[in-house]
Amino acid sequence: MNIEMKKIPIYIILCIYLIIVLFPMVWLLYSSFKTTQEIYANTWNLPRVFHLDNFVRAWTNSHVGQYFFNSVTVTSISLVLSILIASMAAYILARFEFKGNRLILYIFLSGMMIPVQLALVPLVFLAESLGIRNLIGLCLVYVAFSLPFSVFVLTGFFKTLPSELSDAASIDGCSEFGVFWRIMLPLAKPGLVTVAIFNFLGFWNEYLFALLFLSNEKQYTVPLGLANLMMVMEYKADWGALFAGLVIVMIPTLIVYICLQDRLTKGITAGALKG
Amino acid sequence: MRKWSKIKIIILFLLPACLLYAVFAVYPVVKAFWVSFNRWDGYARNMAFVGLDNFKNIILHDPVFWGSFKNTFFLLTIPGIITLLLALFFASVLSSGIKGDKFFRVTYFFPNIMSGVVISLLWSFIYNPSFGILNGLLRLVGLEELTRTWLEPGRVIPALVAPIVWCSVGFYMVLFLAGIQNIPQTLYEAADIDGASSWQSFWHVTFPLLWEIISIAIVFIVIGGLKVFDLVWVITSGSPTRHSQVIATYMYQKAISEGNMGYGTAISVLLFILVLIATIISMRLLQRERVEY
Repeated sequence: MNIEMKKIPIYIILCIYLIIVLFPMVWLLYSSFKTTQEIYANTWNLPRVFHLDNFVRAWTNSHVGQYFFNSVTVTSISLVLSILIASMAAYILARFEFKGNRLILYIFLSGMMIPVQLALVPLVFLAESLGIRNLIGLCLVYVAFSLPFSVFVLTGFFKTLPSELSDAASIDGCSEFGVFWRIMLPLAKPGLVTVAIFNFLGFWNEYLFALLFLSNEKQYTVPLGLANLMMVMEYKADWGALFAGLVIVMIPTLIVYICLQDRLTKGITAGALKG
Repeated sequence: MRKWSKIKIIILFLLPACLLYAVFAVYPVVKAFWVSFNRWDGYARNMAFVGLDNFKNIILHDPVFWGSFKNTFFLLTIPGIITLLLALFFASVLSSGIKGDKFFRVTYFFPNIMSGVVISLLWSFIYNPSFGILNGLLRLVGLEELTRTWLEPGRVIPALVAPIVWCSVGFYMVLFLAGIQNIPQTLYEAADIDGASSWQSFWHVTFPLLWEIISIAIVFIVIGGLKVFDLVWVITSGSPTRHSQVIATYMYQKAISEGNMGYGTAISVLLFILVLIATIISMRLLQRERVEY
């Protein structure tokens, strides 16, 4: 009993912080059903009617639907490409001996220390001259800048895999490609999941490169589009739609989190502690 | 025959990664160093080599750069310290077998996976002078006179402490929780038998054994803090003033918004040097003796 009593202040602190974390999101959620006048009239009140006007306006008039589609496209293309390309390179760097092996690995790894700001100006001109200062260029840049971390995590995984399996398979007549695709890749699945989670969050949330690459509003990704909506708020104060837009954007993150939170926190700590 | 197929697969598998990385990462980074020695407005014919002039001007004659340096330093130390303390506290409390620990852990972590833009928008709603939670709360408890426009240029940087802490505590808490799980339970039992209070067992068992992970956390905070961009850029609507500038936003403003490519890139080279120094110092810190009991 005494021990339980001692825990009460701890519970109080935990609950206060819980409210600090949760309340802004709950407030955002119910406020997104209010009209702009209601939002201004009172901070705390629940909406009088739960109407979906804000969501419809956000999705169509404010183009959040379009941004959403763009983000899904960019994120999925970059994700598939980055995992495929990084795992192929990591497999070679981890399991094949050849001249320059070490050097290539170090060049990749040193990329983890370099702030992306350094590359911004030359990247603009490079993209302009290649004619890819658009969503395609953005995908390529995302993949390129995700390589250091992905290669780093995956080489670690491929190195630990036993070579008996691949030897046996190639004796059985499996091609080099078959060994990689059918044996090594499935075995490296935990590493692939860690990399996929990291890269998904990185691509879905990325703002700076998108700001640099996308000038046509039709191509905006979600972070860029939302930031832009916020910046034009001074001219057209449709706060209701902006609240709704933010809710729409948070829903997929929330769903991914609820489904994958265990793997996600484990993957992130595993990745972080290795990195 | 086998050897040939081996060479083929090495080239085939390495090529896409090497090509993409060389073109979109290595080349721009190398080129950046060259650009930083030039005065350049973006037109090829106007590129003029000026040696170290950009760096000299930034370091000796640019108060805005030093302002941004000060703000960056503020944003990595103050929120960093608060984050570490809160994360350590929550991690040690939640690992002590308290009921509902999983629920607290999962909820506290969530803000960490939100994008910088979403966090900026949410917090600019919280700080909004007319309908925001903060002023609403102050009115509710009768502190009407404390309500103000929180995101004025002079107040933006201190106002960013709360969102940064809010979105990072969960991450470091989970990191520390993973570390605490690796500490053998017997050490706590031994401390308990010796009559150690929970504070003493934290200070003498948890803290020294967690030191390695704490120093990794410090590395993350310093490197992440040096590169902070999204929050400042979005909350100031893409036009930070000299009072609300951090290094990364100042670099972007100079190079991209104002078209002063050489000067802006020189700032990013300085940022790179700062990251490098921070990394080397932290590595040293990491190599300090590992405690093992």
